[in-house]
Order: sequence, then structure tokens, then C-alpha cells
Amino acid sequence: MSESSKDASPSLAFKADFFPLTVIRLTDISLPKLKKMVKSTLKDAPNYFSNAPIVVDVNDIETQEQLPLSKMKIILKESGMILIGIRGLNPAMHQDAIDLDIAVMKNTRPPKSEPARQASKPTTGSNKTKIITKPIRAGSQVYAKGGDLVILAAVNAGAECFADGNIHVYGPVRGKVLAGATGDKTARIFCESLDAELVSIAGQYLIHEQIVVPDNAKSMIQISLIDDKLSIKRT
Amino acid sequence: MAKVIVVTSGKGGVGKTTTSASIAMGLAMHHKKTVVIDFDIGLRNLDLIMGCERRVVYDIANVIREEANLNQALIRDKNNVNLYILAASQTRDKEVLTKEGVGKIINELSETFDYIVCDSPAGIEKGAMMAMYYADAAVIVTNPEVSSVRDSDRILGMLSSKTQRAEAGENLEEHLIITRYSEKRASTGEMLALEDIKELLGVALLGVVPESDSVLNASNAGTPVITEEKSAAGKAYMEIVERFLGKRPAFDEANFNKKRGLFKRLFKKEGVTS
Repeated sequence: MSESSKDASPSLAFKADFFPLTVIRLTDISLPKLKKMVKSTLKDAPNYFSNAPIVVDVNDIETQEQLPLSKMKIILKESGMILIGIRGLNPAMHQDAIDLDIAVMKNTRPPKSEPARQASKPTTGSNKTKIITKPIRAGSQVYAKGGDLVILAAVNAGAECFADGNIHVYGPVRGKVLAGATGDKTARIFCESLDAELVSIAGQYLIHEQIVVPDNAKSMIQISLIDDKLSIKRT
Repeated sequence: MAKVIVVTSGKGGVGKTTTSASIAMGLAMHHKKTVVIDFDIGLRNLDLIMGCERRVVYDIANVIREEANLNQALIRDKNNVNLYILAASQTRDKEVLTKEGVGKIINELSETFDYIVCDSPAGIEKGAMMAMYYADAAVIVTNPEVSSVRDSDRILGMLSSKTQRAEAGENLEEHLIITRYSEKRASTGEMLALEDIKELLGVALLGVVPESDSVLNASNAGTPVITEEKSAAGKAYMEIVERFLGKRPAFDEANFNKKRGLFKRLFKKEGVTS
């Protein structure tokens, strides 16, 4: 007899495959708006979305309890679109979607409401002071992004130092130093001696011949912005 | 394993080739098997300074392009059996140099030589970058004037970032040589003082070579000036090599200045205007 026919080739197989899907990103839950936008999009390409599988992205919607899922599905179907999935939906609402045969898709976009996006590094990473111990040579550039720059050596002629915050140089300054590079007017420059090619705070600058260094070699020089003008003083 | 020394400066005409030739000869005179390589493709001079320009059959370009092997290209110096020269190409340009090609040559030379001296061309382009890439030590040649010091500073920046050692986070020895130093012009302030140059560059001084007629005479004769025992420049180079090998104490500016002072006083006494 044909016992073997029982173990014949299976009638179905599970395979992974990729399909491009159009995602409609919603920014609010107004149904009339949705209807209007869909209609105007279709005007340009009436057949493009005919029977098209659609995923709706609700990451930008904060109050999702009010989401009219069932009505959305109908509106889209009226225009030929088949709502098959939803992305960025609150877990509390998942069952509602499933009951309506709307699949809950993997959320590859982070929701807006999530508090201050977690940086991959700890926050001390990007705002930490950059410390340089070797002289900055001609043709070199140093940039302390998001923080202060401390240089424990000389800034040679032909070198350029930038910092979003303050710049402190424990050595002679002969090159260019630019503090408050992204516009922070409260940034300051501190140095032991000044023979710079250029100094700048938040875009206001002075070149070598305009720089007047006050006498009294006993204390540090401090450069700050007062009434949008660079002021060079001894501390 | 050989020690690779690059002689570089950034600025042109300061005395790199003169220094490369003399340092290489000096090392050979101390019984170190030494090869000196000219990296100035297209504008080669080292062969002239070494007096072997008529004996160049194959050059570095031929070796990189595998048209000749290293042994065919190496020229033995006529005065010292420990010294060999690898000439640059006169007809090609610097594009013929590749990191792999140069690396292969350096590796092969390392097997039999104690020191490999790389004579860098001026500038910061391919020839200069290739000359410095495999260096273990650098000799920066500087004239006591502002543009040379600025260029040397730039080159120091590149030595600490664009070399194999820098990429591996390893230390590269840095030595400074001041050449074409004029006693007279330094005392009037026309030339930068040694202390100022040292302060600006922050590198230990290996020695000071005075401006000297003997340099031109030596290059005309095709022998490195270090062999001119009686010339001030020749003596300075000999001291430099001795310091490099650790056989002489480090350069002492104070002593050097003292001698200058004495010199000046002597001349004043005899009514000679310096």
C-alpha cells in the first residue's frame, strides 16, 4: 500500500521574502485631512496605488488612543489601498489593530515622544574637554566639538584651533584661535602669551596687527566678548 | 633590522642632500653598513653629491617596476666599502613611487644593512611622503630663518601623523640640524637664534653646521663634506654623527654660545670686524 504517500512533498513552505511597501506617515489623526491628502495624491497617479499594500506609520502621533484605525482602513480602501500594517503603535493599541487585520510592523523609526534620544556614548563623551599635550604644528587643525579645548603646549604659527566652548592655552599662542565656533558669545580664550595670527569669539575676530596685549606679564590673558566686541585683558 | 632615517625639511635648498650624504658617509666611517636612497624622482642630486653620477645604470624606479633587482641598482661608494647608493630616476616622475614598492625595497635592504638613509625631496608631496613613511628616525634640516622654520614645523606635523609609526601609535625619533648657520648674521640678529628655533620647533638639536665654502667644493668634487676633516662644516657633521650614535654628549647650546663669545672677543681684540 502507499504508506509512503503520506510523507509526500509538503503542500506549503515558509519562505522569507522582501516586498517594497509604501508607508504613509501620519502626523495627526484627522480623518478628513487623510481623505483629502489621499485623494490629491491619487489625482497625480490614479492607478499607482490600486490594490497597493500600505503600511501606516504613526510614530509622530502622541495621543494614539484616539486613532480611528477602522475608519482609516475604510478610507484607504475607498481609494484602492489595502491597509495591511501599522508601525509605531502603542503596545496598548496592538490588539485593536490585530482585531482589524492590521499587522503590527517592526518599528524601525524611533517615536518622537521618546525623551531626549539616547546617545550611543555617555553624555560626558561629546561635551568633554579636549586636552592636547603636544604642540600644534603649522598646517594642523584641532577642533573641540561641543566643549572646551585645553592645550598644554604651543600653538605654532600656521596652526588653527577651534572650540565650541572656551580655549585655554598653557603656552605661547602664535597661530589662530577661535572660541565659540558655533556661536557661543560667552566663550572665552585664556592664554599665557599672545602673538596670535587671529583670535575670534563667536565670529568676531581680530588679526595680529589689531591685537593689543595689555602689559603686566604676571597673569593670564583673558579674551572675551563684551557688547559684541573683543576685549583683551589680564586676569 | 635596519634603522630607517629620513632627512627632510619641507623647505627646499636648506641642505638635505648635503646632510644625507654626510650622515650616510659618517655612519659608514663608523663601520655601519649604510645605504642612502634618493627620493627626489626627476630632479635627482644625490648621485652628483656622492660622485657616482656616471655609474648609475638602474635606479629606484627600475626596481619598483621590477625592471631590475636591488643588487643591480645599488652602487657601491668609491671611497667606503660600507656605503651604498640607490639613485633616483631622472626620466620619470614621483608617480612611480608606491607605498608597497617602497616598502618592499626597505624590507629587502633591512636584511643586509644597518642604516637606511632616505634623502627626501623638498615639499610635502608624494616624494617627501614616501621618503618619510617607513622612517624610524627623522633628521629635520632647518636654516635659521623664518620660512625654513615654518616649513620644518609643518613637516614635523606630518611626521607625527602620516608615517607608519604614527599610524601604529609608535614613537618616531626626531632630531634637528641647523645648517648654513652664519656666526656674523646671528650676532646682528639677522638670523634666528638657536634658542628661538629650538623653542619654536620643540625638537632636540643634534648639531649646527656653519655656512661654509667647503660644502660647494665637496659637491663639486663628488665627495660628502664630512670627509673634509679640516672644514668647519665637515667637523660639524662628524660631531652630528657621533651624537646620533651616542658617542658624543648631546649638543650644548650654552657651550656653543660661549665659544661664539670667545670667537667674537678674539676678533675684536685683533681689530678685525666680523
